[in-house]
Amino acid sequence: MSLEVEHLTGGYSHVPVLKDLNFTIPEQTVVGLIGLNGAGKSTTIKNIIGILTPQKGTIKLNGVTLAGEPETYRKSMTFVPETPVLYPALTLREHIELTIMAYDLDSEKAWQQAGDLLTRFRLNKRLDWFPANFSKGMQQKVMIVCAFIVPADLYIIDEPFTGLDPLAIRDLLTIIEQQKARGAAVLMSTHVLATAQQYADRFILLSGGEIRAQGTLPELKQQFGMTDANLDDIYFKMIDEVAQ
Amino acid sequence: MKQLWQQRLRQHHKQMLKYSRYVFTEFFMIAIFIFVGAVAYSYSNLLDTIHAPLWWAKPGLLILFVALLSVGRLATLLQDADTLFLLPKERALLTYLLAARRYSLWLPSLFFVIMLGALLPFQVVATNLAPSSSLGLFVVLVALKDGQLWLQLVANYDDQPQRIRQWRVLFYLVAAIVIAASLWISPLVGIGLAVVAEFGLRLYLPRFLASAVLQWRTAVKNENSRMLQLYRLINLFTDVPQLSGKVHRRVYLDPVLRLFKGNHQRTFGYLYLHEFLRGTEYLGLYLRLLVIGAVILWFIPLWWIATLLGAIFIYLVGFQLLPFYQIFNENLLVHLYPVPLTNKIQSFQHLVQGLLMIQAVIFALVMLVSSSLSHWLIFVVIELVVVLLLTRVYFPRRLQPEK
Repeated sequence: MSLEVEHLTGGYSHVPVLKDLNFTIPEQTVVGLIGLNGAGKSTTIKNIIGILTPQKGTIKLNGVTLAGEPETYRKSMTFVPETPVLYPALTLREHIELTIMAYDLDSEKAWQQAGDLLTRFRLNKRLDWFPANFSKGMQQKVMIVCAFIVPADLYIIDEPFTGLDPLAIRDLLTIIEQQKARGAAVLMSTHVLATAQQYADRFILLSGGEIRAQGTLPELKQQFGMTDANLDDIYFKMIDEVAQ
Repeated sequence: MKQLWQQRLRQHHKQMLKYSRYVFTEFFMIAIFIFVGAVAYSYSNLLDTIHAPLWWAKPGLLILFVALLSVGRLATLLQDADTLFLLPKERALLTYLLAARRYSLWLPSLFFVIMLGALLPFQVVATNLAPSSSLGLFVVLVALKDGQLWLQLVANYDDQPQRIRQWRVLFYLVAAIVIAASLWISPLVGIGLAVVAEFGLRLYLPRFLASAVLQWRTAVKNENSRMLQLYRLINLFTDVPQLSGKVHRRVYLDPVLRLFKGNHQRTFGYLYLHEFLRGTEYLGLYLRLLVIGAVILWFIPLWWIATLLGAIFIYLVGFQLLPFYQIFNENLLVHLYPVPLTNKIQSFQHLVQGLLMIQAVIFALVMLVSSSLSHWLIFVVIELVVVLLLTRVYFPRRLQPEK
């Protein structure tokens, strides 16, 4: 069992954004977190990565909470933010070195993995450049490389498909498949439903800070009573429900 | 467009006034006064030893005057966003640029007056030029500067950098000839030549500008580089926000970075060191205070005052570096690293301790020249105590988050 979220209630002030979320992300599973802007996707992610502290409920990663064993918890997870966050003073090579240090990785293995990823993203000739001056898409690739050289149990990716070119999206999906095969769990929030439908095993539909539905696509179809629907249809059905 | 220029100029003046308050502090003014006095004194001494006429006086003046022409560039005050927002106003922008050109002539002219005034005694003693020829030279220099600014304005319309370079070379050649004529023949000849050159330029310019297309990016780039020079100058005295946050590769510091062997416990040490050596703000602050401190210690004759000042300077630098601890707070990933907070505090403490130690060593070297061995030893011990107290005792307490 990888990630367990129980009765998560949380937000930025006394008014909670998230209301009693319950879900699990087992290993070898890609989960799509889906909802409108303001539905609570980012807040959920912030609680899981530990930027926000839950007001109620618990989040366990491999049975460990952040408060209990912070280093173990943090080591088991990496995060690719929606907007790339880079160090202006570090080159691409130094970003990778820093990641190796921070996560206490085996340098040789990590560099081997990094080499593969960098070649895949055509960044291998830019090791001595400052990524802070890269285009947004390339910066995002740097973030992906830094996240995936860590052999984590859970990868969290916020909006992975915006800003990447089609080739890079395909490469990212391949990487996700590889990590899944290795045993990792992936949580990604996205608005690109067609891709999510194709590559995610399970979905969590958030609406107004609550989980409206979760499960595999067939399960969702059943819950919404739409036998012939795709994820788009279900999504709009959910939105229409809220509007009423 | 004229209004836009005036508005920009007002903003610019306001900003410069703000900075000038930090640059021209009382302290600095006193230093300037002393400096100017010292220069004037040795200048007058020098004049007494001169026996006219000096053979190198006129060639020297020629080189100096040509060099003076490089002071002051066309200030267009264009901004990055203009390449987008003012695009539809391209034709009208000429009025703006003409106003900018006229304004740009003021500062160099003032500068010429000061320099010619300062050179007047030398000129009278060392050459056969009449004092009144200074007036003629002033007119020549301003006329040349005027022509140069025209060329700089035109350069913003030229898409071929090579041609701009050729024009620049040509300008300095013409300027050298005109100034030489004024020095060796008569300033009146120089004025005549300058008027002819200026006349030719004015004849050619309207025809050129009528069909020219403004090179927006070049124009903005030129202005940005001009402002950058200005900010760099100001940055010697105070922090300029436009410069802070800038990062430089500083390849020459890479050996220092390589000395640092990073590992998991020293993750933040790696980060802090890179940020410090490649950033602008804190490195600049450190070096400024280091140099000022060393210079002050050099001039203080009393050892115990020097010791006290040295200690104060180390304390000051350490204290000023304290906010550097927070520099990565905005970066989300830093909060996710599986590195305990104690490691972060320790890394920061080590960095500052290293920096203050370097400072203490440099101060000690300065003191070594002027003080006796026993006084020097006391100095060293006190500086060391301050460094250790600050970084080992005060910092951990200060940086520990409140529970």
